[in-house]
Amino acid sequence: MLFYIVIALLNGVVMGCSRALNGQLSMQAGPLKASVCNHLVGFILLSFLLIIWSVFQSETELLIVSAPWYLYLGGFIGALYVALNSFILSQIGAANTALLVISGQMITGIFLEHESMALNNFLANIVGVILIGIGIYFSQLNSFKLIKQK
Amino acid sequence: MLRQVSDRLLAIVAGSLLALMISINSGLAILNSPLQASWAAHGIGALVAIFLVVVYSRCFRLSQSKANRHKKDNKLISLPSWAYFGGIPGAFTVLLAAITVNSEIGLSGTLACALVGQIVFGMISDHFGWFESEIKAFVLQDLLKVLPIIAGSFLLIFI
Repeated sequence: MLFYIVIALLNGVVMGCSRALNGQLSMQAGPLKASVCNHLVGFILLSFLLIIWSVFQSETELLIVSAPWYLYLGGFIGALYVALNSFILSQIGAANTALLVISGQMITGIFLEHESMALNNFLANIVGVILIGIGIYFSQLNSFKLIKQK
Repeated sequence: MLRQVSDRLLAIVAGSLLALMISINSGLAILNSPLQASWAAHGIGALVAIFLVVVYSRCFRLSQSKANRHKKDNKLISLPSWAYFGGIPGAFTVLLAAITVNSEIGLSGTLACALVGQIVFGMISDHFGWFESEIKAFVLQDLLKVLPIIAGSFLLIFI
């Protein structure tokens, strides 16, 4: 379990890097063009990795299993999210956006898993989301004050 | 008033979509492999993003003034070359998420840990001024922001 927690924490660091780089590009090129660049660079890298990976696999493992259509919506949502997020950002500001997007994300995460959970867990999870919301609120509040002081 | 509420609702929906996206990509990773899932997601994402750029520029081309464009050209010069490679960590994000979502910590554990990782990494990078960000030294107060998030994540993962 600890192993997966470390991987997930590391993923946060990787996400942070990706967001920092993408943020720089977005400021110059706009969020949509930055998103195109982001996806293409990722796609090219993954194509290379896939070719290298396929050399070491047996033939049965290389077969692509046909997945139901909705499992291919992930990329679609990812690109759409960039446009949606930049629109919301312009309307309600960075602090509100971060708070509400993360809250929506955590609540949906719980609901997508809830069939395997007891009510006790569910309540604990709701408290967990509220705590996370408080933390996000504080962190955004402070950065907000900093901007105002300047 | 109504506009403000609908924008806020939209922000929550955007967050929901993000969770759904990670869940879907990880579902694809079970059927094939994390590498193939990330590859498919990025390929489809690139096509949709290109489509959105074309639609956007068709719709808003007229409103873009020449002065605005000129300003943009000037700004482009200062862009560091590493800014174009955000797709590299982006590719690994889907891979790593596929591993952890399909493990015992699940989707909410993955989201919570990733959030903690992002906040802590953000503080460290602000402290040292990485990625050409403005240096914001770490203060003890910053722990007050992190602790509720860590406590909340703990509840999501272990209970």
